[in-house]
Amino acid sequence: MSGLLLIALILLGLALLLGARQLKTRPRPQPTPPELPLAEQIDAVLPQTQCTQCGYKGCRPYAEAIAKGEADINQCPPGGDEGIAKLAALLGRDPKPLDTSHGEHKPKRLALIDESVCIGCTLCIQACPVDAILGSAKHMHTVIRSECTGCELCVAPCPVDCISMVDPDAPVKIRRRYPVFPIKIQAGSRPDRA
Amino acid sequence: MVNRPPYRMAAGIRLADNTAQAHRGPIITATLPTCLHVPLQTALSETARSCVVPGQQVQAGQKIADASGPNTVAIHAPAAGTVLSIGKQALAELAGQPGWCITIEVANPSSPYQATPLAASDKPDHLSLQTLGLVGLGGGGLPCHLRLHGVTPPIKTLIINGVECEPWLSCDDSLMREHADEIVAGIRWLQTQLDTEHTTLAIGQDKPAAQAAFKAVLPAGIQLVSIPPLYPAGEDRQLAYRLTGQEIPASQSLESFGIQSFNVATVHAIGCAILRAETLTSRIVTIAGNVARPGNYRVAFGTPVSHLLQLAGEQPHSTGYLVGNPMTGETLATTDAVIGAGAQALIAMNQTLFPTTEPTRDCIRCGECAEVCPIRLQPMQLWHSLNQQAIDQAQTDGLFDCIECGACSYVCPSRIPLASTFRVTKQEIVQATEAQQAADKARQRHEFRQFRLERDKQEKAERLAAKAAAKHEVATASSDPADAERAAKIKAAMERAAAKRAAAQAAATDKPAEPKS
Ligand code: SF4
Ligand code: SF4
Ligand code: SF4
Ligand code: SF4
Repeated sequence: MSGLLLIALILLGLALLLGARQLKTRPRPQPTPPELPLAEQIDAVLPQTQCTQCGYKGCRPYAEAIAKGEADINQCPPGGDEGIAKLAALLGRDPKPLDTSHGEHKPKRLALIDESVCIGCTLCIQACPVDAILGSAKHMHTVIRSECTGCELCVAPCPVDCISMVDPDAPVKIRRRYPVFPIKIQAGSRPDRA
Repeated sequence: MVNRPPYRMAAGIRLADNTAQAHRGPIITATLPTCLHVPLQTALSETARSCVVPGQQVQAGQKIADASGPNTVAIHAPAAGTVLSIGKQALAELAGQPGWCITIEVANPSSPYQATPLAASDKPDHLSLQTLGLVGLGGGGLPCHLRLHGVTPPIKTLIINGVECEPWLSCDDSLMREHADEIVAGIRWLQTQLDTEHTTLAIGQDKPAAQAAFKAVLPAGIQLVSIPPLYPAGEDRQLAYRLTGQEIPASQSLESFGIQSFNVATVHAIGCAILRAETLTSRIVTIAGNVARPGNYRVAFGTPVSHLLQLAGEQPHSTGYLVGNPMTGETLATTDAVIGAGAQALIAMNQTLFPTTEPTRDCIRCGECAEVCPIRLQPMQLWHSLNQQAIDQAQTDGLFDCIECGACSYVCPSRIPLASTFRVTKQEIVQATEAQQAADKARQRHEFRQFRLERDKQEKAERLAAKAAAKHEVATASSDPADAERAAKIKAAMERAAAKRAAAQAAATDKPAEPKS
């Protein structure tokens, strides 16, 4: 009898011990971060080119307009179809094609100032939404390439037409798409595994 | 480490054709083409700064571009000639994507390439690997000086990688057979530079001639280890594990574990550089496949692929050209592409050697891919996750640990392009992350600009308001009594300040006197 009791006690002890371990190791539910306002969530998926092609003064105002239901989700050419898909997923709507009356989607290009022609009028600096142009009055101006978003807003104001949009130079990441080629295997010698 | 037997690799495949295609003949020196397009770019996508102008005559070994920063090296002319232009050319190692090159019209085309020491006119004060233009020749193309100087923690183990486990490739093998002495000179120099404790030269078991060549010249302090030809045993992390038992996660470098690994071809170039101040202007390229004269050719940088195919006698009915080995290599978009430091092999494909891939079928969950994966991933699981757009799941399952060796694709009976899918997806993830970072930065800069404009406007308004107020004060305070009162106030304040200063001075002079008395 006492033997049985002992076994029962041991089992109970074990159960308690393991239970406690389980409790300890089970991940605690993390507090979910407070939900951001809708406009901010939308702004987070916009490309931040700040080109105003959507008809608003920048990405943020467009985000706010979408949040208020004043603007559609297909007005941002830099974002393209991918951007629209992201917005659609965020808002639980169906994606739709880009409204090309706002412009065509094209790969990002960077502004380049022809420094020999620049007269130092500072008009491009005033146009650049992300302060990506360096220069001062009556001195040569130049584009800080790493900061340029390719919005093209600086091109029109230049009185001597010395700003052009060029393909970004070197560090485009290489996209290698390669198959593993089926090498001719000698008859009967299937590659044996190690 | 030295006395322990090599660790066993987790997995890998024995390739049926590993040695059959390798060529055991001597190194052939390729002749020069009419025009060389010498690439200026290093593996880190940075470009050296040209120091020649079109029309200029250059000598063999003359510097034609300066290192533009720590991540680039000086570039030298492989042969004498005239600079024609500086522009973009297709690069073989980037599968035909363009990169900046200096085009030189060769003075003596069709003469064999000759390695030349640095031209006497541009001897820098301090000869270094950077000024001699040394980059890795194992396919990575990283500038060598980056791996020698300022490396932390100190390098204890130096691995010289002569495994060359990839099918078709035999460029390293040919170098080891013919130039063991120069490789040894390079190893000894690296040993003194890095102050290493252990040095291991790892050579594939399928290269008895190379091993024999080293046995004759290998000094004490360099251990020769024979590595069974199990693909991908020659991958740096796999080799490091095999030799030291140290597993190196994909997120960390070999250096952070005190291990440094150099490819034998790189070490050979270092050896030539220290023995004869030779600049790096060529590499050995294995040319094989659908050609009449396959072999290992010494090719000047900037030689177009079409010239090499002509030299090797390309046979009709080629279906494509492969740069690198068939497991990880890439097909070339154009034969105008030029050879750079990263092009190890050039293989002309035809229907017999490379039959058309069978169409992809559904995964049958046979598990063969998991069995051969050297990283012990579950490729079929990654594949299913990616098919279901579950990118996060794939990442938690180790997508970024995949070394893209291609072993899984090779064995898959359903011919699923596993490795290439992983590679492309990884690049897409990296690109998306970078685009997101750029967008976040642009948002920040835009917001700051808005803030700055607003602040400037406000400050201007305040300045104007202050100016107006001052004018107002002058106007109202023009009567004499007020002015006098202000003057009196200022005078009193000045007197108070002077008194305070005097008191402080007295205290200061008193204090040091006290201990004396
Ligand atoms: S079109 Fe797109 S990138 Fe341009 S400002 Fe509008 S939201 Fe921003
Ligand atoms: S430099 Fe021109 S194109 Fe680039 S972000 Fe500024 S305004 Fe836009
Ligand atoms: S390609 Fe990646 S998943 Fe496939 S075997 Fe190699 S390491 Fe494993
Ligand atoms: S080898 Fe191919 S078919 Fe077999 S489990 Fe892997 S992916 Fe599926």
